[in-house]
Amino acid sequence: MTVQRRPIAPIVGAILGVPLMAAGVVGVLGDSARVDPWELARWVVGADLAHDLVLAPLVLVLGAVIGRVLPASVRDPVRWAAATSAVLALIAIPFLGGRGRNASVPSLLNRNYGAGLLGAIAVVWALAALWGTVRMVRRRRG
Amino acid sequence: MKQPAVLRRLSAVPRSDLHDRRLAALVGSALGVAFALCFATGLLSHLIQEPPGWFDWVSRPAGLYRITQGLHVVTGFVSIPLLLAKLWIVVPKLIEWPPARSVAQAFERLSLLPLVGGGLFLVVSGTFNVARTYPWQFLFPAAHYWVAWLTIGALIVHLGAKWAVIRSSLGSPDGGRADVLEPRRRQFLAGVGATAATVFVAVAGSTVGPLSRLSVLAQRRPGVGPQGLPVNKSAVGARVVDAATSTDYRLVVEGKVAHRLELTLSELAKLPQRTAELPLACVEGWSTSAVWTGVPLRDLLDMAGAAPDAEVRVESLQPRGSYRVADVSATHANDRDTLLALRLNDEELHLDHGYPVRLIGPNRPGVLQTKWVARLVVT
Repeated sequence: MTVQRRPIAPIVGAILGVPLMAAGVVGVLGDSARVDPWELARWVVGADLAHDLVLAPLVLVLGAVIGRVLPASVRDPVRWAAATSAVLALIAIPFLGGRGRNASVPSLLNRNYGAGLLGAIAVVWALAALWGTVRMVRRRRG
Repeated sequence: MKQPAVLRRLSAVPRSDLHDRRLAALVGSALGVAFALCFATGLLSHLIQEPPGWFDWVSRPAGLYRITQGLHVVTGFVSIPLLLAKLWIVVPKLIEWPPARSVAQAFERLSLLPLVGGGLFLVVSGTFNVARTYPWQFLFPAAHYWVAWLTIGALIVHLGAKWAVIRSSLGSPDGGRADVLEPRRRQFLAGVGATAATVFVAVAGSTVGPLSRLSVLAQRRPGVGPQGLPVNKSAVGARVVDAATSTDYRLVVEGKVAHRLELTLSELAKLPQRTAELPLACVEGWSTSAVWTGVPLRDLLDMAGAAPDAEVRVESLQPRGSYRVADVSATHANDRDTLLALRLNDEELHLDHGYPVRLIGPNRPGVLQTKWVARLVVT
């Protein structure tokens, strides 16, 4: 007969983690001059929902479409290039918006972010094309 | 409770076999290291800027803060693809039915909301801050700081809850080699690594000079700005142009001193000058080294007859702003390279770099290197 041992790690995790989470919540509540707790809560929950209800379904559908439309040898390179382009584009959003520019500080945000993003995406797709070509050639030989 | 029809249909859709425990544990480990590094460096930066009594930040090595804060910002950016990859791997759990089988599991799953929402908020708000874009009312540093505690707490809860699964899926005796899925996992990991490397190159140029040309999403080019140095706040933006260029300008040293000092710019220039190469390191991650010349703060304190362990509150001509005032601890005040600088790269300070006098010291965040200094209050 084996004795079922109750796992200890979840308890340790809760004992250590919950006070830190509470510190964050209590901290916000006590800092309402600088942070409106409700506004912040909306942003945190909103970030979660934006991922779960918008970004994730979109990615899953796109991944499935790529799986149906493209030949097996190039699927993975195309998926990688699409995902990497999307990550770069997401990061670029506030830079492209340009709302942070300040006429009296020309050294701030002083790049052409649109051209830079397109250039980076072009390099990503060129790498993916190289990867796809190598795979196709290998498959034909093999 | 019955499983909703839409969830039943979704769970019947054929899915990639890469929504897999071992892969989740592998990517999760990398993400955990990135978040831990971000948390540690971010907490350090917070302690330096709002020091509690027990915390005395060292003034050496001079470039330490430049490294820790550069790491903070770059690691934050690089964790974006890691976080999105991790969420993709575990996404089928979102539609798992029933949502929880026990109270403990319900608690564990609820803690995913602050973990995922908090993690996403941290990288999104950090990115927007680097781009100086604020589509919210709250103060960014405060909100980012409190959510970091929430997120790291939720991460520890999550780690504890998943400990057994993580250990068993990472610790297979053959390192997963016998598993038919392992080559595809390796390919996925290589892909995530390549994306993370791409993001690194795209943003790191603000800190890592040689990458600057390739960093198409960097906030700055190091070396671009008046006198070859970037500027955060201009004299016009800080509304100090008239006061800073006035012939009535005096640097005042007062507070706990034997004799109050009032020095004109030319009197300051006649005092013994010291030159030091020091980095200007912004909390937003960019940094550049420059050569500064001026009067050591300690010399002025000695002239005024301040105590050897004196601390100093440095006030700017700025009429307002969160960084109008900065405190200098005794450790920093007694470092010979903590200067009231009059010159930058052997030229008179540019108005945007704090003319007539700016504070510059080793190992301090840029926001504590007060520009347009008007008053030193010894405490």
